[in-house]
Amino acid sequence: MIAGRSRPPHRPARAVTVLVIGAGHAGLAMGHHLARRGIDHAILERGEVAHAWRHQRWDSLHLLTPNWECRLPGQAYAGPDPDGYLSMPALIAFLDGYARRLASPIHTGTRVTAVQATDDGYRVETDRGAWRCRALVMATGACQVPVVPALAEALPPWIESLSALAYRRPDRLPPGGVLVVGASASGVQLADELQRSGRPVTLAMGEHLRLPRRYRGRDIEWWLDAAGLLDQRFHEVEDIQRARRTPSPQLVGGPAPRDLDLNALSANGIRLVGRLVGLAGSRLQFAGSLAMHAASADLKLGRLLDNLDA
Amino acid sequence: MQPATPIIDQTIDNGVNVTALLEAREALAQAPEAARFTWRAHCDWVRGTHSRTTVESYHGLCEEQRHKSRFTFEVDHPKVFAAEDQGPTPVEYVLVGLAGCLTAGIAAVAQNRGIQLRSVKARVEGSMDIQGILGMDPEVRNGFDDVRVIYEIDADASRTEIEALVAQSQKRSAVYDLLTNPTQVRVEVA
Repeated sequence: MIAGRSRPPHRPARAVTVLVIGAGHAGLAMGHHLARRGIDHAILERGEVAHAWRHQRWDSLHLLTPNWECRLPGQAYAGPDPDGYLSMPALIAFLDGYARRLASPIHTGTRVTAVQATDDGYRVETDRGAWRCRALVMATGACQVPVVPALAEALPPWIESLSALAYRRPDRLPPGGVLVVGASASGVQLADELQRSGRPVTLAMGEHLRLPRRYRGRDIEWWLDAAGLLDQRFHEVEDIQRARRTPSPQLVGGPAPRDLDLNALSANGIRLVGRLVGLAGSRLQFAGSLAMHAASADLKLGRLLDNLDA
Repeated sequence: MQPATPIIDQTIDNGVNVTALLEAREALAQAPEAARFTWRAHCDWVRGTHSRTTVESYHGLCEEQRHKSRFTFEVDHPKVFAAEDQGPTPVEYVLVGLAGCLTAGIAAVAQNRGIQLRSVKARVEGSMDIQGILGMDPEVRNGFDDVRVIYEIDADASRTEIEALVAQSQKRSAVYDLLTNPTQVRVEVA
């Protein structure tokens, strides 16, 4: 090997007071607050700003939160349609603009490979050199690792299976019917899109969270916000483990507000079945508990709406 | 699931010791191996479709346990199956198990939520097409194709609260889980 040419010279770890991993909503917002307080910091991002929104979402996705809710510290939504729902290109532009105005140094294309606690903080290894910091903020997102049932490994080879992170649009799938496993926001949205593309769709669901898109003339998110539910902090929640397991609500954004609950799904011709629980030969097995989960979701929704009315 | 320190109304009495159950939950969190239970039944064929099954011992809390007496169950098929009808059919025992499990759950959840029960009655039905067990049609399954439980509950609670009791009892029921999810079963000759 020829010294000095083919590899960068050894550099000592760069030091900073606070290091933030991830340049999405949370990482950028953190950067804003750190900069305002004059705390020396840097943001590390594996790809580009809003990386997951650019590369790990399906084409038709719109946020399920209305535009007025797209607010980052120091920047409220200022566009023409506060009650609309951002498409991915619009969301990426929103985050890009925010990142450009930020005083934080953002190191894009820098993948963190290891984090180690040290006496005075952390040592963070990346594919572009090491960092040292006193405090570390993990802002890598809550749902970046798909939960794939173990039985997916044993599916017959003629069944193609993929996670929501890899799905883009119906015409990228092989022809034929589709089983969507999971009926949180992503599951119901994908089942809806696939069914509209003309495929027979079966949706397997366990515990789920039913919400109407609009309630008493306003978006449900307005009510959740007004009731203070969105301001609840982790230490105010009775059972944090349970709160973290709560599925995302059966809501969809898009050009016009609409419901995407079990009634809407089955009215559109989607076959609803219980949780996927087994594979016997080439037959999938579904739990017989769909009625219980649907009744539970209705009871929870009833309690929520009663609280909102109060 | 439940608040860590429930406020238990002393005047509510469904005969369930919720304090003991909550303490057990705390204790088992420290010693998860004690939570492994094995339930047993011993069956003796009598004659025809008639058999007699006894239940007495089980394993749990890291040691052998014993019911306070030995329980005996006659199992048979009815006259329309050309049998002697010495006891309920096996599938009826499954309904017995489901009803007992859900109803116990309702009492426990009601106690924990401070709801006084006055009466809890359930009608449990399982339907099947016996062309399955008779081997007449391979497309027909042997077991129930539909199970229905209808509760009539009289309690100091609103209809919504009662529905929530019934929902929570399903969520924590062993037999409901057994019937709604596949279970690994091995049958061998010793």
